[in-house]
Amino acid sequence: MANTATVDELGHSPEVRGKNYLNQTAGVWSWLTTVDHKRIGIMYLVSVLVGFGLGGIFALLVRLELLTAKKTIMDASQYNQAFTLHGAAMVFLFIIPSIPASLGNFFLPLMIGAKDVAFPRLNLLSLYLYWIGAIFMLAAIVTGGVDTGWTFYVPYASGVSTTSVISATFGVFVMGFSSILTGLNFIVTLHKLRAPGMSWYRMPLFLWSLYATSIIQVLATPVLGITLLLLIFERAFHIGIFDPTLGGDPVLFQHFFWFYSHPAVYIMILPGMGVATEILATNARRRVFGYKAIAFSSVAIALVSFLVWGHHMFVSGQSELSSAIFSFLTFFVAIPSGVKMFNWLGTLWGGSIRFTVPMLYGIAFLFLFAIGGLTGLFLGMLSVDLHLHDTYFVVAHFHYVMMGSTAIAFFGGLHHWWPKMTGKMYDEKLARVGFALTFIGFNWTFFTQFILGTRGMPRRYYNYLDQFQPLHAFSTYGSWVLGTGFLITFICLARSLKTGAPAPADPWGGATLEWKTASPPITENFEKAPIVTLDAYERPAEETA
Amino acid sequence: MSTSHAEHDHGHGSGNGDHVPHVLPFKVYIGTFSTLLFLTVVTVGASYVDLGHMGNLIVALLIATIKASVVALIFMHLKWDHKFHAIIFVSALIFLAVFIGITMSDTQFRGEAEAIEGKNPVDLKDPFKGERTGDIAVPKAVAAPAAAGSAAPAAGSAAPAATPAKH
Ligand code: HEM
Ligand SMILES: [Cu+2]
Repeated sequence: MANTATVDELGHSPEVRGKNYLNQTAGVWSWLTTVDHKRIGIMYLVSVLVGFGLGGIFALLVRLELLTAKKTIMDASQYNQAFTLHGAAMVFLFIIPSIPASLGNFFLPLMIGAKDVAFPRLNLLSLYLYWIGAIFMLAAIVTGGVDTGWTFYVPYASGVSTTSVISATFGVFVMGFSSILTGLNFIVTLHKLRAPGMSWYRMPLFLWSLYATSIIQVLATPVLGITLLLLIFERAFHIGIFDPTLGGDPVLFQHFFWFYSHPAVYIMILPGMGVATEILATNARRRVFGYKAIAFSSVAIALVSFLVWGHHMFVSGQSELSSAIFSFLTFFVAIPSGVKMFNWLGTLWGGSIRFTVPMLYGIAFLFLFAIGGLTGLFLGMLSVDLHLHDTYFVVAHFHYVMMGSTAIAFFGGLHHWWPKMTGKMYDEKLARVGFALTFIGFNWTFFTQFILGTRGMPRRYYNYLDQFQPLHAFSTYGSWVLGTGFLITFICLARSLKTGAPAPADPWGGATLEWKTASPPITENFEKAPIVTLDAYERPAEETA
Repeated sequence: MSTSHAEHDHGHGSGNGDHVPHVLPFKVYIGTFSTLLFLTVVTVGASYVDLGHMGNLIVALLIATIKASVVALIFMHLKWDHKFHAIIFVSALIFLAVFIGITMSDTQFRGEAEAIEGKNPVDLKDPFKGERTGDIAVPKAVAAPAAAGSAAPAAGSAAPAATPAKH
């Protein structure tokens, strides 16, 4: 880059120095009407963290109730509401938008050297839709709660439950549009706005994973929308679609629901995989091993994910033929997942690894995703799942993938990019303590549940047999450690906003474009559109020499 | 139908922003329209020939597919559009076919192992009324322990909390 006397090492001229997207304009109104992807990303970040906090409170309540085999703090119907709201908040308010809408929004344009996403106003609209959906969900909580489970299975949800199912499902319906619009925006942005020289194969792998995620969001989410609308119609107007008393087919609902929701689990994990790739590549100071393998396995996962939904329905009454087909197809998901795993390990091999805080999260991700993914194969095995379905084994499985993998990757990414987003460094020591407690508490809470599940503890039960009590109590103690870990992490990050040292442009020695602009970035991201001459993760020659 | 339209291929969908409307000779539209009418007549005619349930279904769907293709290709100009749009269009259809097709592997084949599982229960309070066979257990009296334990996992099974108590 042409360095002249007036331009600093980031290519910023004196006019923009000291200005950034945070201080360019001020006031609440300037945020609410912004079309800057970075500000929208930050607002999403705050929102999903609130969702996470809400879901977390319900989680702790659920665990507390399960401390003893009989009533502990709430009655049975309150318990049903607590686990439903926990699941619904975590899935729809937190994990689905988490990485794409916050970190993705903030970093996708930066990483391809663009000024913004392709449709900045649509981006803002998607945030508003998310908020509107969230309001409907909150309204459901205040006006009677929801007790159907996050899966809204019929005929319970459409005809039996007396809680605010319509408000909750309508909220999810609206949030679905937010998800679709974000996906659409990302696809177009990646196709149209890459900086000169930024070919597809030079894109950081996080963007490949967001691309694959966006495909799923655009293709699958409409099906959820239609399903929930049908459910609302059946509940409100008694149109017989799913309810057998009205001539419907309840198993059809499960087909519809899982046709979205299985791909949706890849909406959750693919961005996490992408974040992990960035963290591992940066902190092993190597180019990613098997770049194309990782890139295409993301797309492969997205496509295969559409063919396996029925593995959630092995005991639903679907035909034996169907179950056999779905069990068979499910194993194909393991191939691209395995490809990724080995390429990550290949990236670490021979790298000069630095155990920064994000790297700890990155390594934890590898470890926890291995467990989560492999236990998925147990469950995909038809004969085994007949025993494990609807037990705590399933609960443990999906917490290892959703919380252990995606949420850990999200918090890893948050630490990785925090200096870039806020311009502040956090206290490394405190962040390590937060990480350690999170990691220990997580395994403590959820590994226990694998054991509970194999011993026959059913899922979503309020009271249980005395023989399960010690393990349940053990798991509950773990949840307190986990909760403390998150609390410390939040305190650490929040404190850095006030007391943190100013962050340099590139605190980790990263090789991707977002490190080549100021921390925090200027509103335009780059004063001059960058021209890309290096491959992804390739460092300029003088740096490695 | 496909008259000399090769010359339209360039300058169209080459991604140069402004969309030049693609004009076809009037007789092509008339030809397409009469083809569609003709195929409609064929559909009606075919319904009078008994090819069996499946046979009739396949013929009807086949004709409908041809008609839809003609509409998409000619009336909607997909034939002269950017190839990428054709790919998107076709993928959408494949996607729908996957969804419906695999779902039918369930709905069309229920009850192969246990015949009554394939039937829709008539009376929900007593779903297998008088049709219990083989290894499906009939609970004696009011099964007390089962009732106590079943805090009805809200979304565990789709079966409408079948409590066949009156047996
Ligand atoms: C190797 C990949 C995976 C395989 C083979 C797999 C397989 C399965 C199977 C067969 C079930 C159904 C178990 C039952 O209900 O009896 C299941 C449940 C579940 N999985 Fe996975 N899974 C995989 C990865 C993931 C990932 C990456 C996520 C999320 C990020 C995820 C989230 C879930 C959830 C949320 C459920 C439970 C849904 C519910 O009933 O509420 N899975 N998985
Ligand atoms: Cu699944």
